[in-house]
Amino acid sequence: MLARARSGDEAAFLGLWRSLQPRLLRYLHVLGCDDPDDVASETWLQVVRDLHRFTGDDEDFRRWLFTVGRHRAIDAARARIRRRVSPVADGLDGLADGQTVEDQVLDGMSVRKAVAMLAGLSPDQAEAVALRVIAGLDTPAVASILGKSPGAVRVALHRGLRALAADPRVQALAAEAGGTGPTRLLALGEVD
Amino acid sequence: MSADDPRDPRRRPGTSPGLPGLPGDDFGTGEPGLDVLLGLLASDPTPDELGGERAALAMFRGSGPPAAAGRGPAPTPARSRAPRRRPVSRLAAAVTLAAAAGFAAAAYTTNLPMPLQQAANRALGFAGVPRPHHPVRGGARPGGPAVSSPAPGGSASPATSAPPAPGSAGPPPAGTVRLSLSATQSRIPADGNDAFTARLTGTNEPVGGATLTLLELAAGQPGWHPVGSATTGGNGSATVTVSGLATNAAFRLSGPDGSTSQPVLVVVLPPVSARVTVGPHGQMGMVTAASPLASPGDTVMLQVMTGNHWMDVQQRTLDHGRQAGFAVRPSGPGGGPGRGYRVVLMPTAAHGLSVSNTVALPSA
Repeated sequence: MLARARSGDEAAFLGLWRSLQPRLLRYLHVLGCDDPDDVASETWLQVVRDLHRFTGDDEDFRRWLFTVGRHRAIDAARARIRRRVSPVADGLDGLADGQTVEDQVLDGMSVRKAVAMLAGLSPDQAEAVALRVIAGLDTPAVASILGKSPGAVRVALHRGLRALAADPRVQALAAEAGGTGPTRLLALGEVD
Repeated sequence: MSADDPRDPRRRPGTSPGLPGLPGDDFGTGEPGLDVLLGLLASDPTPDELGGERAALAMFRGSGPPAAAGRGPAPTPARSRAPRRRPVSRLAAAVTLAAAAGFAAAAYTTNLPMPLQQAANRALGFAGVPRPHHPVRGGARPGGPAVSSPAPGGSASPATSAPPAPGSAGPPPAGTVRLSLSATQSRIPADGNDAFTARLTGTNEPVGGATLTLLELAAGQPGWHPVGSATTGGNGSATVTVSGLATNAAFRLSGPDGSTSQPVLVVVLPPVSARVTVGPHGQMGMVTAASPLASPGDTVMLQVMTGNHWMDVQQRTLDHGRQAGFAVRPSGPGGGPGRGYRVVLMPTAAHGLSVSNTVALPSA
């Protein structure tokens, strides 16, 4: 799929985008981006522009994508401070009022809650767990992106997962799952 | 393949003493709650996460013909820090321009840079999907001492100026009149009515006897067009009612001296219902979603109540009968209350998000 995307195959590119965009968005949420969609668009813009120069396999591509995404998130944070302007969404407040119904539903969506819970960790722990779990990267790749040693990443992962496991909300999830978390995920999969 | 590699079949969850197993494809950490959480983090996409697909494809198409594959070194993180064509200034300029010239109108015409357009789509709930325009049955209704008769068929013409082109909305010139518009409801059931209240002032005094034209920009439509008019009363106010709203739309007023109001967004909420049927032996069930005022192809999401929150289960698209079915299996035996399900109609360019009633599937 990657090779076909590089040769201009739209379907292949869409396949890549569909598989990675949701994870990229979740990662950017964990980083605390004001506008993850905007940063994700910037990320893909650069990736598409430089795709012809990319060499590597799927895992290399995923690592590259998340590296670019991280840099664009940092750029966005710096630019927002430098320009001292309101984010785009602020300018829309007068047009779109409070999304009460949507908020109620979206708040109830578990993925968002899970991402928010992860974002509540310390930044280094949250990012290590996000890159490991959401991006699906191995520890050396995470260490490369973060500019840390694999050992430091393992420590951050360890502490982050420990902190999550001790969170009362996560323990409540365990209670809801009846002590069989993975089984419940499978149970959800039984729905056609 | 390193021992940390999630693909490594030798790595099993929870094998490190005192350390939760690193998350892999099976999410197993030995901590049930943590397993659920990590499973959610890596779960399938939600519909809103794939909302920018068309924009992404347009970006890919706009990147030009691909160069020879493999030319030059592979981009690296270090390389990605090199100077690049970052449209920060273009984006910042567009923000200013959009704010000054009418963001909603510019968004409708898809003239904004992609990230800004996406932001507009997200905030406005419009994705640019062309939809049939709602029948204009609106007109004025008595809202003040001197309200005009309705303008059937949307044929009313502006009192003093032609409808402004998209993007020209903004505050009236200083020193002249000021026009404000508010909607009674910002979210209405599909095919419902909404009343708009206008207020015209000049030098802090209400202006009566002025004819105002209500303009509409409906989702998927190319430009503003008049849908009704009214004459302000002595208090400078007038009310116009628009009926049969079937798609999301922005409204604004055109008044004297070329004045226009800021746009007001109205989101339409089609009803969606859920019903459950159980198979003959109680082993399988079906949750059927129906949304007669939505469109075929719209997305519905089945949610199940777990504990005290709703969890996404699966999404489907509505068929030509505006229905979608989800096969479900009753929870284990025991005669408990069973699982609760509901269906969410996901927002599109044409409508907002609606939530169905809750149905329960009895235990097996």
